[in-house]
Amino acid sequence: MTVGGWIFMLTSWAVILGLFAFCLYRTLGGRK
Amino acid sequence: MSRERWGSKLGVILAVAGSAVGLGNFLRFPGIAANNGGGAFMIPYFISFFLLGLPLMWIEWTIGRFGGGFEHSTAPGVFQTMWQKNRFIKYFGVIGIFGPTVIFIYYTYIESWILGYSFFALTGKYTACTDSTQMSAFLQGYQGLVHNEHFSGLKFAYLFFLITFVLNIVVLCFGIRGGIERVCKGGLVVLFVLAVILMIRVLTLGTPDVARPDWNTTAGLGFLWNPHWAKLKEAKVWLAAAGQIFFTLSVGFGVILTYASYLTKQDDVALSGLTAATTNEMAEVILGGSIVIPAAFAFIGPAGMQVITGQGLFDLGFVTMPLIFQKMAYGQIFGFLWFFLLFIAGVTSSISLAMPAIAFLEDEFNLTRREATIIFGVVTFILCQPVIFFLGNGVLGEMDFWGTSVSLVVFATIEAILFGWVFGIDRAWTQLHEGSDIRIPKFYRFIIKYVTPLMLVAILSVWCWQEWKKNLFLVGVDDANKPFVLITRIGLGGLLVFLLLMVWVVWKRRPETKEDV
Repeated sequence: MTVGGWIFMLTSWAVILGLFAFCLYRTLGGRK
Repeated sequence: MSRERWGSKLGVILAVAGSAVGLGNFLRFPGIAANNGGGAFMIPYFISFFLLGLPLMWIEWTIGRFGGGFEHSTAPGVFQTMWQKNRFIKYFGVIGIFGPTVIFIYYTYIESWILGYSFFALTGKYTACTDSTQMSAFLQGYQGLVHNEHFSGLKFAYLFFLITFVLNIVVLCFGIRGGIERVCKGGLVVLFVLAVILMIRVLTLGTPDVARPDWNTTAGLGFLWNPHWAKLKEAKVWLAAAGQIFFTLSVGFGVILTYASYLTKQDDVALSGLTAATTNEMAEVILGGSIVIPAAFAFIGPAGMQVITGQGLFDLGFVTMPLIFQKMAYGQIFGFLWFFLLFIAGVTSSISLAMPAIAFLEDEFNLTRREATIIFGVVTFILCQPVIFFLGNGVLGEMDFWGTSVSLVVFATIEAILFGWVFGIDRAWTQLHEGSDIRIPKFYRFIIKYVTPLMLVAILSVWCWQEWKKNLFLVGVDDANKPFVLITRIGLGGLLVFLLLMVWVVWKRRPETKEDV
Protein backbone atom coordinates (compact mmCIF):
# COMPACT_ATOMS: atom_id res chain seq x y z
CA MET A 1 0.00 0.00 0.00
CA THR A 2 1.32 3.43 -0.96
CA VAL A 3 1.36 6.54 1.23
CA GLY A 4 -1.54 7.88 -0.82
CA GLY A 5 -3.47 4.69 -0.11
CA TRP A 6 -2.96 5.01 3.62
CA ILE A 7 -3.97 8.68 3.50
CA PHE A 8 -7.17 7.95 1.62
CA MET A 9 -8.10 4.99 3.79
CA LEU A 10 -7.41 6.67 7.12
CA THR A 11 -8.97 9.98 6.07
CA SER A 12 -12.13 8.19 4.90
CA TRP A 13 -12.31 6.27 8.13
CA ALA A 14 -11.72 9.45 10.13
CA VAL A 15 -14.50 11.34 8.33
CA ILE A 16 -17.00 8.55 8.89
CA LEU A 17 -16.01 7.79 12.46
CA GLY A 18 -15.96 11.51 13.21
CA LEU A 19 -19.50 11.90 11.89
CA PHE A 20 -20.58 8.87 13.89
CA ALA A 21 -18.98 10.21 17.06
CA PHE A 22 -20.78 13.52 16.50
CA CYS A 23 -24.10 11.68 16.04
CA LEU A 24 -23.52 9.59 19.14
CA TYR A 25 -22.62 12.66 21.20
CA ARG A 26 -25.71 14.58 20.12
CA THR A 27 -28.01 11.55 20.48
CA LEU A 28 -26.83 11.00 24.02
CA GLY A 29 -27.91 14.50 24.90
CA GLY A 30 -25.36 17.04 23.70
CA ARG A 31 -26.62 20.64 23.41
CA LYS A 32 -27.81 21.99 20.03
CA MET B 1 -57.11 2.23 14.84
CA SER B 2 -54.36 4.18 16.63
CA ARG B 3 -51.28 4.68 14.57
CA GLU B 4 -48.23 2.52 15.27
CA ARG B 5 -45.13 4.29 16.53
CA TRP B 6 -41.48 3.35 16.85
CA GLY B 7 -40.50 2.31 20.35
CA SER B 8 -37.38 4.44 20.46
CA LYS B 9 -35.19 6.80 18.44
CA LEU B 10 -32.53 4.08 18.29
CA GLY B 11 -35.15 1.70 16.87
CA VAL B 12 -36.01 3.85 13.87
CA ILE B 13 -32.36 4.72 13.22
CA LEU B 14 -31.36 1.04 13.21
CA ALA B 15 -34.39 0.14 11.07
CA VAL B 16 -33.39 2.71 8.43
CA ALA B 17 -29.73 1.70 8.73
CA GLY B 18 -30.81 -1.94 8.40
CA SER B 19 -32.75 -1.10 5.27
CA ALA B 20 -29.65 0.58 3.86
CA VAL B 21 -27.00 -1.97 4.91
CA GLY B 22 -27.21 -4.85 2.47
CA LEU B 23 -25.24 -7.01 0.08
CA GLY B 24 -24.03 -3.96 -1.77
CA ASN B 25 -22.07 -2.67 1.23
CA PHE B 26 -19.91 -5.78 1.29
CA LEU B 27 -19.95 -6.96 -2.32
CA ARG B 28 -20.65 -4.00 -4.58
CA PHE B 29 -18.73 -1.11 -2.99
CA PRO B 30 -15.27 -2.76 -2.91
CA GLY B 31 -15.37 -3.66 -6.62
CA ILE B 32 -16.81 -0.30 -7.70
CA ALA B 33 -14.17 1.59 -5.72
CA ALA B 34 -11.25 -0.55 -6.90
CA ASN B 35 -12.32 -0.24 -10.55
CA ASN B 36 -12.96 3.50 -10.47
CA GLY B 37 -9.82 5.03 -9.10
CA GLY B 38 -9.21 3.26 -5.81
CA GLY B 39 -8.67 5.77 -3.03
CA ALA B 40 -9.26 8.64 -5.44
CA PHE B 41 -12.80 7.31 -5.90
CA MET B 42 -13.55 8.53 -2.39
CA ILE B 43 -13.44 12.12 -3.66
CA PRO B 44 -16.52 11.80 -5.91
CA TYR B 45 -17.97 9.34 -3.37
CA PHE B 46 -17.91 11.81 -0.49
CA ILE B 47 -18.99 14.68 -2.71
CA SER B 48 -22.00 12.58 -3.73
CA PHE B 49 -22.62 11.63 -0.11
CA PHE B 50 -22.79 15.26 1.07
CA LEU B 51 -24.56 16.71 -1.99
CA LEU B 52 -26.88 13.88 -3.00
CA GLY B 53 -27.15 11.10 -0.42
CA LEU B 54 -27.50 13.08 2.78
CA PRO B 55 -29.96 15.64 1.35
CA LEU B 56 -32.11 12.83 -0.05
CA MET B 57 -31.99 11.10 3.34
CA TRP B 58 -33.25 14.27 5.01
CA ILE B 59 -35.87 14.84 2.32
CA GLU B 60 -37.30 11.34 2.67
CA TRP B 61 -37.28 11.36 6.47
CA THR B 62 -38.99 14.77 6.52
CA ILE B 63 -41.72 14.08 4.01
CA GLY B 64 -42.35 10.70 5.60
CA ARG B 65 -42.87 12.20 9.04
CA PHE B 66 -44.97 14.97 7.47
CA GLY B 67 -47.22 12.47 5.69
CA GLY B 68 -47.55 10.35 8.81
CA GLY B 69 -49.09 13.33 10.53
CA PHE B 70 -51.98 12.97 8.10
CA GLU B 71 -52.12 9.17 8.54
CA HIS B 72 -50.38 8.54 5.22
CA SER B 73 -47.48 6.12 5.30
CA THR B 74 -46.86 5.89 1.58
CA ALA B 75 -45.94 8.22 -1.22
CA PRO B 76 -49.34 8.56 -2.96
CA GLY B 77 -50.92 10.05 0.15
CA VAL B 78 -47.80 11.96 1.17
CA PHE B 79 -47.32 13.54 -2.27
CA GLN B 80 -51.00 14.50 -2.45
CA THR B 81 -50.78 16.13 0.97
CA MET B 82 -47.73 18.10 -0.10
CA TRP B 83 -49.28 19.28 -3.36
CA GLN B 84 -53.01 19.35 -2.81
CA LYS B 85 -53.82 21.38 -5.89
CA ASN B 86 -52.45 18.72 -8.21
CA ARG B 87 -54.82 15.74 -8.63
CA PHE B 88 -52.24 13.64 -10.45
CA ILE B 89 -49.22 13.79 -8.14
CA LYS B 90 -50.51 10.90 -6.05
CA TYR B 91 -50.15 8.62 -9.07
CA PHE B 92 -46.46 9.41 -9.27
CA GLY B 93 -46.28 8.32 -5.64
CA VAL B 94 -47.23 4.83 -6.78
CA ILE B 95 -43.59 4.38 -7.84
CA GLY B 96 -42.78 4.40 -4.12
CA ILE B 97 -44.85 1.24 -3.70
CA PHE B 98 -44.16 -0.40 -7.08
CA GLY B 99 -40.37 -0.18 -6.85
CA PRO B 100 -39.85 -1.74 -3.40
CA THR B 101 -42.51 -4.42 -4.01
CA VAL B 102 -40.83 -5.53 -7.24
CA ILE B 103 -37.43 -5.58 -5.55
CA PHE B 104 -38.84 -7.56 -2.59
CA ILE B 105 -40.05 -10.25 -5.01
CA TYR B 106 -36.59 -11.17 -6.27
CA TYR B 107 -34.57 -10.00 -3.29
CA THR B 108 -36.10 -12.60 -0.96
CA TYR B 109 -35.00 -15.35 -3.37
CA ILE B 110 -31.41 -14.07 -3.42
CA GLU B 111 -31.57 -13.73 0.37
CA SER B 112 -32.60 -17.39 0.56
CA TRP B 113 -29.47 -18.38 -1.41
CA ILE B 114 -27.44 -16.71 1.32
CA LEU B 115 -29.27 -18.71 3.99
CA GLY B 116 -28.62 -21.83 1.96
CA TYR B 117 -24.92 -21.03 1.63
CA SER B 118 -24.70 -20.39 5.40
CA PHE B 119 -25.93 -23.95 5.85
CA PHE B 120 -23.58 -25.29 3.16
CA ALA B 121 -20.60 -23.45 4.68
CA LEU B 122 -21.26 -25.02 8.08
CA THR B 123 -21.92 -28.52 6.73
CA GLY B 124 -19.09 -28.39 4.18
CA LYS B 125 -21.34 -29.22 1.25
CA TYR B 126 -19.25 -27.19 -1.20
CA THR B 127 -15.79 -28.09 0.14
CA ALA B 128 -15.29 -30.46 -2.81
CA CYS B 129 -15.29 -27.41 -5.08
CA THR B 130 -11.76 -26.08 -5.23
CA ASP B 131 -11.81 -23.70 -8.17
CA SER B 132 -14.19 -21.16 -9.65
CA THR B 133 -15.45 -23.50 -12.38
CA GLN B 134 -16.51 -26.09 -9.83
CA MET B 135 -17.98 -23.46 -7.48
CA SER B 136 -19.91 -21.89 -10.35
CA ALA B 137 -21.30 -25.31 -11.19
CA PHE B 138 -22.32 -25.69 -7.54
CA LEU B 139 -24.17 -22.36 -7.68
CA GLN B 140 -25.86 -23.19 -10.96
CA GLY B 141 -26.90 -26.57 -9.64
CA TYR B 142 -28.38 -24.94 -6.54
CA GLN B 143 -30.23 -22.40 -8.70
CA GLY B 144 -31.68 -25.23 -10.77
CA LEU B 145 -29.99 -24.03 -13.95
CA VAL B 146 -28.20 -27.37 -14.39
CA HIS B 147 -28.45 -30.85 -12.89
CA ASN B 148 -25.13 -32.03 -11.51
CA GLU B 149 -23.54 -34.11 -8.77
CA HIS B 150 -24.37 -31.40 -6.20
CA PHE B 151 -28.07 -30.82 -6.91
CA SER B 152 -30.62 -32.63 -9.03
CA GLY B 153 -33.29 -29.94 -8.83
CA LEU B 154 -34.64 -26.99 -6.90
CA LYS B 155 -35.56 -28.83 -3.69
CA PHE B 156 -32.86 -27.22 -1.54
CA ALA B 157 -33.29 -23.79 -3.10
CA TYR B 158 -37.05 -23.93 -2.66
CA LEU B 159 -36.82 -25.08 0.94
CA PHE B 160 -34.50 -22.22 1.86
CA PHE B 161 -36.74 -19.83 -0.05
CA LEU B 162 -39.79 -20.98 1.94
CA ILE B 163 -37.94 -20.53 5.24
CA THR B 164 -36.72 -17.06 4.22
CA PHE B 165 -40.07 -15.92 2.88
CA VAL B 166 -42.01 -17.13 5.91
CA LEU B 167 -39.47 -15.51 8.23
CA ASN B 168 -39.96 -12.16 6.49
CA ILE B 169 -43.75 -12.43 6.69
CA VAL B 170 -43.72 -13.44 10.36
CA VAL B 171 -41.49 -10.48 11.29
CA LEU B 172 -43.76 -8.13 9.36
CA CYS B 173 -46.88 -9.53 11.08
CA PHE B 174 -45.49 -8.37 14.41
CA GLY B 175 -45.52 -4.78 13.18
CA ILE B 176 -43.20 -1.83 13.51
CA ARG B 177 -42.26 -2.12 17.15
CA GLY B 178 -42.69 -5.82 17.85
CA GLY B 179 -41.30 -7.02 14.54
CA ILE B 180 -39.16 -4.67 12.51
CA GLU B 181 -37.64 -2.67 15.37
CA ARG B 182 -36.82 -5.76 17.40
CA VAL B 183 -35.21 -7.57 14.47
CA CYS B 184 -33.23 -4.53 13.37
CA LYS B 185 -31.97 -3.70 16.85
CA GLY B 186 -30.69 -7.23 17.41
CA GLY B 187 -29.76 -7.84 13.82
CA LEU B 188 -27.61 -4.74 13.32
CA VAL B 189 -25.68 -5.39 16.51
CA VAL B 190 -24.98 -8.99 15.45
CA LEU B 191 -24.13 -7.84 11.92
CA PHE B 192 -21.54 -5.34 13.13
CA VAL B 193 -20.02 -7.84 15.55
CA LEU B 194 -19.71 -10.46 12.79
CA ALA B 195 -18.28 -7.92 10.38
CA VAL B 196 -15.66 -6.80 12.91
CA ILE B 197 -14.70 -10.44 13.60
CA LEU B 198 -14.30 -11.07 9.87
CA MET B 199 -12.41 -7.82 9.38
CA ILE B 200 -9.96 -8.77 12.15
CA ARG B 201 -9.61 -12.30 10.74
CA VAL B 202 -8.90 -10.96 7.27
CA LEU B 203 -6.49 -8.21 8.30
CA THR B 204 -4.48 -10.67 10.42
CA LEU B 205 -4.09 -13.14 7.54
CA GLY B 206 -0.78 -11.57 6.69
CA THR B 207 0.89 -13.54 3.88
CA PRO B 208 -0.89 -16.90 3.57
CA ASP B 209 1.52 -18.16 0.90
CA VAL B 210 5.16 -17.58 1.93
CA ALA B 211 6.25 -18.33 -1.65
CA ARG B 212 4.31 -15.22 -2.69
CA PRO B 213 5.23 -12.50 -0.18
CA ASP B 214 3.54 -9.80 -2.28
CA TRP B 215 0.20 -11.51 -1.84
CA ASN B 216 -0.74 -10.13 1.56
CA THR B 217 -3.62 -8.22 3.13
CA THR B 218 -1.77 -4.89 3.30
CA ALA B 219 -1.18 -5.06 -0.44
CA GLY B 220 -4.83 -6.07 -0.71
CA LEU B 221 -5.87 -2.90 1.08
CA GLY B 222 -3.60 -1.06 -1.30
CA PHE B 223 -5.41 -2.62 -4.26
CA LEU B 224 -8.57 -0.91 -3.02
CA TRP B 225 -7.17 2.30 -1.54
CA ASN B 226 -4.15 3.31 -3.66
CA PRO B 227 -5.32 6.33 -5.67
CA HIS B 228 -5.43 6.31 -9.46
CA TRP B 229 -5.82 10.01 -10.18
CA ALA B 230 -6.27 9.69 -13.94
CA LYS B 231 -9.60 7.98 -13.36
CA LEU B 232 -11.08 11.20 -11.98
CA LYS B 233 -11.04 12.65 -15.51
CA GLU B 234 -13.62 10.04 -16.55
CA ALA B 235 -17.26 11.04 -16.21
CA LYS B 236 -18.26 7.42 -15.65
CA VAL B 237 -16.32 7.40 -12.37
CA TRP B 238 -18.32 10.36 -11.01
CA LEU B 239 -21.51 8.68 -12.19
CA ALA B 240 -20.47 5.42 -10.53
CA ALA B 241 -19.87 7.26 -7.26
CA ALA B 242 -23.24 9.00 -7.39
CA GLY B 243 -24.92 5.71 -8.24
CA GLN B 244 -23.20 3.85 -5.42
CA ILE B 245 -24.22 6.48 -2.84
CA PHE B 246 -27.73 6.40 -4.18
CA PHE B 247 -28.13 2.64 -3.90
CA THR B 248 -26.21 2.21 -0.68
CA LEU B 249 -28.33 4.66 1.32
CA SER B 250 -31.63 3.13 0.13
CA VAL B 251 -32.96 6.53 -0.88
CA GLY B 252 -35.56 6.68 -3.62
CA PHE B 253 -37.20 3.39 -2.66
CA GLY B 254 -40.03 4.97 -0.69
CA VAL B 255 -39.00 2.81 2.25
CA ILE B 256 -37.47 5.53 4.43
CA LEU B 257 -40.56 7.65 3.75
CA THR B 258 -42.75 4.84 5.11
CA TYR B 259 -40.53 4.19 8.12
CA ALA B 260 -40.45 7.91 8.97
CA SER B 261 -44.25 8.13 8.77
CA TYR B 262 -44.40 6.29 12.10
CA LEU B 263 -42.59 9.14 13.84
CA THR B 264 -44.41 11.92 15.67
CA LYS B 265 -44.08 15.59 14.78
CA GLN B 266 -41.81 16.09 17.80
CA ASP B 267 -39.40 13.35 16.76
CA ASP B 268 -36.13 14.48 15.26
CA VAL B 269 -35.36 13.60 11.64
CA ALA B 270 -32.22 15.65 11.02
CA LEU B 271 -29.90 13.90 13.47
CA SER B 272 -31.60 10.53 12.95
CA GLY B 273 -31.17 10.74 9.19
CA LEU B 274 -27.51 11.67 9.57
CA THR B 275 -26.95 8.84 12.06
CA ALA B 276 -28.59 6.23 9.82
CA ALA B 277 -26.54 7.41 6.83
CA THR B 278 -23.31 7.37 8.83
CA THR B 279 -24.05 3.90 10.19
CA ASN B 280 -24.43 2.69 6.63
CA GLU B 281 -21.13 4.31 5.65
CA MET B 282 -19.35 2.57 8.52
CA ALA B 283 -20.63 -0.76 7.26
CA GLU B 284 -19.66 0.07 3.68
CA VAL B 285 -16.35 1.94 3.77
CA ILE B 286 -14.76 0.63 6.95
CA LEU B 287 -16.09 -2.92 7.21
CA GLY B 288 -17.02 -3.63 3.58
CA GLY B 289 -13.74 -2.18 2.41
CA SER B 290 -11.74 -4.41 4.75
CA ILE B 291 -13.04 -7.90 4.09
CA VAL B 292 -13.54 -8.99 0.48
CA ILE B 293 -10.68 -7.27 -1.31
CA PRO B 294 -7.85 -7.83 1.22
CA ALA B 295 -8.91 -11.47 1.75
CA ALA B 296 -9.16 -12.21 -1.94
CA PHE B 297 -5.88 -10.45 -2.74
CA ALA B 298 -3.98 -12.44 -0.14
CA PHE B 299 -5.04 -15.72 -1.77
CA ILE B 300 -5.32 -14.96 -5.47
CA GLY B 301 -2.95 -12.05 -6.00
CA PRO B 302 -3.17 -8.99 -8.28
CA ALA B 303 -3.92 -10.82 -11.54
CA GLY B 304 -6.76 -12.74 -9.92
CA MET B 305 -8.11 -9.51 -8.45
CA GLN B 306 -8.45 -7.92 -11.89
CA VAL B 307 -10.76 -10.76 -12.82
CA ILE B 308 -12.91 -10.73 -9.70
CA THR B 309 -13.38 -6.98 -9.47
CA GLY B 310 -14.96 -7.19 -12.90
CA GLN B 311 -17.32 -9.88 -11.61
CA GLY B 312 -20.88 -9.24 -10.74
CA LEU B 313 -22.19 -9.31 -7.21
CA PHE B 314 -23.38 -12.93 -7.46
CA ASP B 315 -20.10 -14.37 -8.68
CA LEU B 316 -18.16 -12.48 -6.05
CA GLY B 317 -20.50 -13.47 -3.22
CA PHE B 318 -21.29 -17.07 -4.17
CA VAL B 319 -18.25 -18.25 -6.13
CA THR B 320 -15.14 -16.32 -5.15
CA MET B 321 -15.74 -15.71 -1.45
CA PRO B 322 -16.57 -19.35 -0.56
CA LEU B 323 -13.30 -20.37 -2.25
CA ILE B 324 -11.40 -17.70 -0.34
CA PHE B 325 -12.81 -18.77 3.01
CA GLN B 326 -12.03 -22.41 2.23
CA LYS B 327 -8.37 -21.53 1.95
CA MET B 328 -8.32 -20.09 5.48
CA ALA B 329 -7.87 -22.00 8.70
CA TYR B 330 -11.33 -22.69 10.19
CA GLY B 331 -12.71 -21.63 6.84
CA GLN B 332 -16.02 -23.42 7.40
CA ILE B 333 -16.75 -21.31 10.47
CA PHE B 334 -15.64 -18.04 8.89
CA GLY B 335 -17.56 -18.90 5.74
CA PHE B 336 -20.65 -19.47 7.86
CA LEU B 337 -20.14 -16.13 9.68
CA TRP B 338 -19.71 -14.38 6.32
CA PHE B 339 -22.93 -15.75 4.85
CA PHE B 340 -24.85 -15.27 8.10
CA LEU B 341 -23.73 -11.62 8.15
CA LEU B 342 -25.02 -11.20 4.61
CA PHE B 343 -28.27 -12.93 5.55
CA ILE B 344 -28.90 -10.50 8.41
CA ALA B 345 -28.10 -7.61 6.06
CA GLY B 346 -30.57 -9.09 3.59
CA VAL B 347 -33.41 -9.63 6.06
CA THR B 348 -33.24 -6.10 7.52
CA SER B 349 -33.42 -4.82 3.94
CA SER B 350 -36.18 -7.11 2.66
CA ILE B 351 -38.55 -6.42 5.54
CA SER B 352 -38.21 -2.72 4.76
CA LEU B 353 -39.00 -3.32 1.07
CA ALA B 354 -42.30 -4.94 2.02
CA MET B 355 -43.44 -2.06 4.19
CA PRO B 356 -44.72 0.46 1.61
CA ALA B 357 -47.21 -2.01 0.12
CA ILE B 358 -48.32 -3.28 3.52
CA ALA B 359 -48.65 0.24 4.91
CA PHE B 360 -50.69 1.28 1.87
CA LEU B 361 -53.14 -1.57 2.46
CA GLU B 362 -53.37 -0.74 6.16
CA ASP B 363 -53.82 3.00 5.83
CA GLU B 364 -55.94 3.28 2.73
CA PHE B 365 -58.07 0.13 3.01
CA ASN B 366 -58.35 0.06 6.80
CA LEU B 367 -56.88 -3.40 7.18
CA THR B 368 -55.09 -4.61 10.28
CA ARG B 369 -51.34 -5.15 10.08
CA ARG B 370 -51.82 -8.92 10.01
CA GLU B 371 -54.46 -8.79 7.27
CA ALA B 372 -52.36 -6.48 5.12
CA THR B 373 -49.24 -8.60 5.61
CA ILE B 374 -50.99 -11.84 4.71
CA ILE B 375 -52.48 -10.34 1.54
CA PHE B 376 -49.06 -8.95 0.62
CA GLY B 377 -47.48 -12.31 1.40
CA VAL B 378 -49.86 -14.29 -0.76
CA VAL B 379 -49.53 -11.95 -3.74
CA THR B 380 -45.73 -11.69 -3.60
CA PHE B 381 -45.32 -15.42 -3.00
CA ILE B 382 -47.11 -16.07 -6.28
CA LEU B 383 -45.05 -13.40 -8.05
CA CYS B 384 -41.81 -14.92 -6.70
CA GLN B 385 -42.41 -18.19 -8.58
CA PRO B 386 -41.34 -16.93 -12.03
CA VAL B 387 -38.12 -15.62 -10.49
CA ILE B 388 -37.36 -19.07 -9.06
CA PHE B 389 -38.40 -21.22 -12.01
CA PHE B 390 -37.28 -18.94 -14.83
CA LEU B 391 -34.08 -17.63 -13.25
CA GLY B 392 -31.98 -18.43 -16.30
CA ASN B 393 -34.37 -16.64 -18.65
CA GLY B 394 -33.75 -13.04 -17.61
CA VAL B 395 -36.79 -12.55 -15.34
CA LEU B 396 -34.70 -11.34 -12.39
CA GLY B 397 -32.68 -8.94 -14.51
CA GLU B 398 -35.81 -7.39 -15.97
CA MET B 399 -37.35 -6.91 -12.51
CA ASP B 400 -34.11 -5.41 -11.25
CA PHE B 401 -34.05 -2.96 -14.16
CA TRP B 402 -37.57 -1.62 -13.55
CA GLY B 403 -37.58 -1.95 -9.77
CA THR B 404 -34.16 -0.48 -9.16
CA SER B 405 -32.56 1.36 -12.09
CA VAL B 406 -35.75 3.09 -13.24
CA SER B 407 -37.99 3.44 -10.19
CA LEU B 408 -35.38 4.68 -7.75
CA VAL B 409 -33.97 7.51 -9.79
CA VAL B 410 -37.37 8.67 -11.04
CA PHE B 411 -38.88 8.57 -7.55
CA ALA B 412 -35.95 10.36 -5.93
CA THR B 413 -36.06 13.09 -8.58
CA ILE B 414 -39.78 13.64 -8.00
CA GLU B 415 -39.26 13.71 -4.22
CA ALA B 416 -36.45 16.23 -4.43
CA ILE B 417 -38.28 18.59 -6.78
CA LEU B 418 -41.52 18.31 -4.80
CA PHE B 419 -39.71 19.06 -1.55
CA GLY B 420 -37.59 21.98 -2.66
CA TRP B 421 -39.80 23.59 -5.28
CA VAL B 422 -43.46 22.69 -4.81
CA PHE B 423 -43.64 22.35 -1.05
CA GLY B 424 -41.18 25.21 -0.97
CA ILE B 425 -37.72 25.36 0.56
CA ASP B 426 -38.83 27.66 3.42
CA ARG B 427 -41.61 25.32 4.54
CA ALA B 428 -39.37 22.30 3.83
CA TRP B 429 -36.57 23.74 5.96
CA THR B 430 -38.96 24.43 8.84
CA GLN B 431 -40.38 20.92 8.63
CA LEU B 432 -36.91 19.39 8.55
CA HIS B 433 -36.01 21.22 11.75
CA GLU B 434 -39.23 20.42 13.65
CA GLY B 435 -38.15 18.62 16.79
CA SER B 436 -34.63 18.35 15.49
CA ASP B 437 -31.63 17.74 17.70
CA ILE B 438 -29.20 19.50 15.35
CA ARG B 439 -29.15 22.58 13.14
CA ILE B 440 -28.24 21.68 9.59
CA PRO B 441 -25.84 24.23 8.04
CA LYS B 442 -27.77 26.90 6.13
CA PHE B 443 -25.94 26.23 2.85
CA TYR B 444 -27.91 23.00 2.68
CA ARG B 445 -30.97 25.09 1.77
CA PHE B 446 -29.20 25.88 -1.50
CA ILE B 447 -28.00 22.31 -1.94
CA ILE B 448 -31.45 20.79 -1.34
CA LYS B 449 -33.18 23.25 -3.65
CA TYR B 450 -30.69 23.40 -6.52
CA VAL B 451 -27.79 20.98 -6.33
CA THR B 452 -29.49 17.71 -5.37
CA PRO B 453 -32.27 17.97 -7.98
CA LEU B 454 -29.76 18.98 -10.66
CA MET B 455 -27.56 15.98 -9.84
CA LEU B 456 -30.58 13.72 -10.01
CA VAL B 457 -31.73 15.11 -13.35
CA ALA B 458 -28.18 14.63 -14.66
CA ILE B 459 -28.08 11.01 -13.45
CA LEU B 460 -31.56 10.37 -14.83
CA SER B 461 -30.60 11.78 -18.22
CA VAL B 462 -27.33 9.89 -18.53
CA TRP B 463 -28.79 6.59 -17.33
CA CYS B 464 -31.76 7.07 -19.62
CA TRP B 465 -29.39 7.35 -22.53
CA GLN B 466 -26.70 4.86 -21.54
CA GLU B 467 -28.52 2.13 -19.61
CA TRP B 468 -32.21 2.31 -20.27
CA LYS B 469 -31.96 2.41 -24.04
CA LYS B 470 -30.29 -1.00 -24.29
CA ASN B 471 -32.55 -2.54 -21.65
CA LEU B 472 -35.71 -1.19 -23.26
CA PHE B 473 -34.75 -2.63 -26.63
CA LEU B 474 -33.50 -5.93 -25.16
CA VAL B 475 -29.97 -5.41 -26.47
CA GLY B 476 -27.83 -8.40 -25.49
CA VAL B 477 -30.80 -10.60 -24.55
CA ASP B 478 -30.80 -14.07 -26.16
CA ASP B 479 -33.63 -14.64 -28.59
CA ALA B 480 -34.75 -17.64 -26.52
CA ASN B 481 -35.14 -15.41 -23.46
CA LYS B 482 -36.87 -12.49 -25.12
CA PRO B 483 -40.40 -13.92 -24.61
CA PHE B 484 -39.71 -14.39 -20.88
CA VAL B 485 -38.36 -10.87 -20.52
CA LEU B 486 -41.29 -9.39 -22.42
CA ILE B 487 -43.84 -11.36 -20.41
CA THR B 488 -42.14 -10.14 -17.22
CA ARG B 489 -42.30 -6.59 -18.55
CA ILE B 490 -46.01 -6.95 -19.30
CA GLY B 491 -46.57 -8.44 -15.84
CA LEU B 492 -44.77 -5.54 -14.19
CA GLY B 493 -46.80 -3.13 -16.28
CA GLY B 494 -49.91 -4.91 -15.06
CA LEU B 495 -48.77 -4.56 -11.45
CA LEU B 496 -48.17 -0.85 -11.94
CA VAL B 497 -51.60 -0.35 -13.52
CA PHE B 498 -53.18 -2.34 -10.68
CA LEU B 499 -51.52 -0.09 -8.09
CA LEU B 500 -52.59 3.03 -9.97
CA LEU B 501 -56.15 1.71 -10.00
CA MET B 502 -56.00 1.03 -6.28
CA VAL B 503 -54.97 4.65 -5.68
CA TRP B 504 -57.81 5.84 -7.91
CA VAL B 505 -60.31 3.68 -5.98
CA VAL B 506 -59.04 4.89 -2.62
CA TRP B 507 -59.29 8.53 -3.54
CA LYS B 508 -62.67 8.11 -5.17
CA ARG B 509 -64.04 6.63 -1.95
CA ARG B 510 -62.46 9.32 0.19
CA PRO B 511 -64.75 12.19 1.27
CA GLU B 512 -63.67 15.62 0.04
CA THR B 513 -61.52 16.95 2.87
CA LYS B 514 -58.80 19.47 2.66
CA GLU B 515 -55.92 18.29 4.78
CA ASP B 516 -54.73 21.29 6.71
CA VAL B 517 -51.13 22.03 5.99
